[in-house]
Amino acid sequence: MLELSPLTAQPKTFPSSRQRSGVGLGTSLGLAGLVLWMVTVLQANFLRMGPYGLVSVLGWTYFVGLFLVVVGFAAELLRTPLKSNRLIFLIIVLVVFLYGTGPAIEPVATLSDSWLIAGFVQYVVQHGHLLNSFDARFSWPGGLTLSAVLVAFAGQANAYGFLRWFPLVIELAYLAPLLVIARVSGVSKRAGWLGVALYYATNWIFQDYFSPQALNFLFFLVVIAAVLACWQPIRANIQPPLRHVWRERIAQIRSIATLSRFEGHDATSEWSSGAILSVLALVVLICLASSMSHQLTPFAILLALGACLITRRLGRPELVVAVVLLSTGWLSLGASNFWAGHLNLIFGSAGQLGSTVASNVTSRVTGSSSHLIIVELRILVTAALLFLGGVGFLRRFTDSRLLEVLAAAPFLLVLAQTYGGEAFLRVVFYALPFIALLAASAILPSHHGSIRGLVPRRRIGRFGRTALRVAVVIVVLGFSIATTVARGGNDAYDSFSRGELAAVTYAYAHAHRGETIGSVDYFLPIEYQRINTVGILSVDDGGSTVHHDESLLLKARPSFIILSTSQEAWGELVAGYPRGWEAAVEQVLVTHGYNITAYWTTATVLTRSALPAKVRKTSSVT
Amino acid sequence: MTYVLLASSSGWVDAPVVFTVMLVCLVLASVRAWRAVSGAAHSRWMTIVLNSSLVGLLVLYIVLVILRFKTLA
Repeated sequence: MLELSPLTAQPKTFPSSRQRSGVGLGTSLGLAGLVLWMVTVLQANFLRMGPYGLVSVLGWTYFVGLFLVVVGFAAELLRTPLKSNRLIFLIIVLVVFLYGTGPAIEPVATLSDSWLIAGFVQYVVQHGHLLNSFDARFSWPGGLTLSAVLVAFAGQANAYGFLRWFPLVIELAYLAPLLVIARVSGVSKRAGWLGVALYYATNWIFQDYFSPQALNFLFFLVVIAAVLACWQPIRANIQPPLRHVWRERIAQIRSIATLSRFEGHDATSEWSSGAILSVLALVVLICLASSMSHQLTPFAILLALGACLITRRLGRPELVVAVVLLSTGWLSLGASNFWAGHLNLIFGSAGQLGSTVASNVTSRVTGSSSHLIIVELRILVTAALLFLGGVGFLRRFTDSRLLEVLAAAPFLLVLAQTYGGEAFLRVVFYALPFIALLAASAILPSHHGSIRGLVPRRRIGRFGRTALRVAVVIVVLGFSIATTVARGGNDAYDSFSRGELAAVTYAYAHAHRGETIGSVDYFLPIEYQRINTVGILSVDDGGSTVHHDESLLLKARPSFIILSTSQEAWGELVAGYPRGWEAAVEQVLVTHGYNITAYWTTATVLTRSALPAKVRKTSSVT
Repeated sequence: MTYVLLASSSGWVDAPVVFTVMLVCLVLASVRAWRAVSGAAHSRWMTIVLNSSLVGLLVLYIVLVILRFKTLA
């Protein structure tokens, strides 16, 4: 056996002391943050929620834990080499903080709409068919029927078990396509990771509740990720002298409107023909599913694919044609039972930007001072992210302005319709991943690409790496805290107690076919069962007074009326009703022929029926 | 208005017709994509016929959809 002498043996290479001290630091901080998160959840008392929503029940352990996670992320982001597994772990912990805290603390699922969707699914599970003409969402039934299949597959009788943790699960599902988009979008590697973290840190929009919208956003991300992974831009070989930079920019803009661009000849792929055809087929299938399950997402996908085509990231324009056919086809054929006779519901506000802005933005900036702070914080987070995105646009080098066009494209949807006053929310939701990547480029811009940045490149200097770490911590932590406040800011009336759920369940259990359950407003876990046999009446019509709501309730005289702490919080925080207004309403209802037949600490059921007067049902459930 | 009434009475905006036109457009687009991706040499005349048919049927489809909206609205 040949033995090497000590003088000729290759010396072992040990990591430097700096690298050794960094090994495992990020992961350790992430684990410590996770432990503090668990302490936060165990100590939080949901019943003490105040006007600022979820943040009012979070202790210092939450913020310290979040700080540790973000510091760990910054440390891992700027180490060499990058350790993908650690970054993924830290992003997952960040997601748990931002999207898992609410479900962990709040005893039942938030948002009335998620309970309503569960009611739709319950109907399909029970009857095996849709309830056409009941609600617009039944005309786009793909998500509902898929959920019904999953409910049956899981051996459940209804979808209630999926509601509470659905936001966390679906946000974790978004991680894979987001990572792919970050990797292939043309930003630097580190900017890609930072962009994914910024997406999660700024997503206060709360469109990830149990709904077809959340599922379709996953479709949207997967389609974009597949297309961007498949095709790359053919790089231009022009390097003009500096004085011709603006002429070159104008020539680049003019090259968008060429037949070669629309034919997809300016994009290339290294994949085999079979792989490309398979991707095209799968993407068309996903778009087919999306067109049958959501009103808006197919058109968002269409705009995004158009953006990819004109920025040289889509090599086959037939994909755009297919999405046009599928989205308009379902709208004109499958959904015709919805819009036939009232087409203005879909196209009535087309082109009316002023009214769209009013219904989406202006009308929401109302309410108590605490509510106004939450609303203005949301606007501030979005504006700050857009500002950073603008800086990223100026600083980064790239081979194509894909991210900029993808970020801008969804805003065309606003011109089409108000979408029930939520068009801006959805538009920001679709644009958010791309704006986040641009914002990351403001801090960690790429320095490679045929399209040069618009501001001079700066060297980072001796303490540059430390400064970058500090900048990452400040930006990610600042956005994360703001999103915690903004996202959970409505939870005083959007989240529900077990008592409120018990009150609604009691009303449904005692309601006969054709009877109605009434409330002042819609903030209840309601309509999750018997949607076709028991009516729901919510009397508030916006901008009214307590007396007006009382008179509407007495005029309608539903069989049951539910009063709850969520509705009371909404009245005080948003509608401007006086403190304790529900007690006055209860008194008026009692003097006009209603009896209190059941109550919990957080809810009361009044009934007009022939039940004995003042039968009180107490329960330890609050 | 005359076109809407004609379309409605002739049955051109009925669901089976619009669906068939949509399906044919999808098939033509798929064939076009397959020919482009496969990379093999193709007849120039076939390409012209395919592109013309696809464009023509797309225009027909868009007209039918608009007329259908106007008819049923």
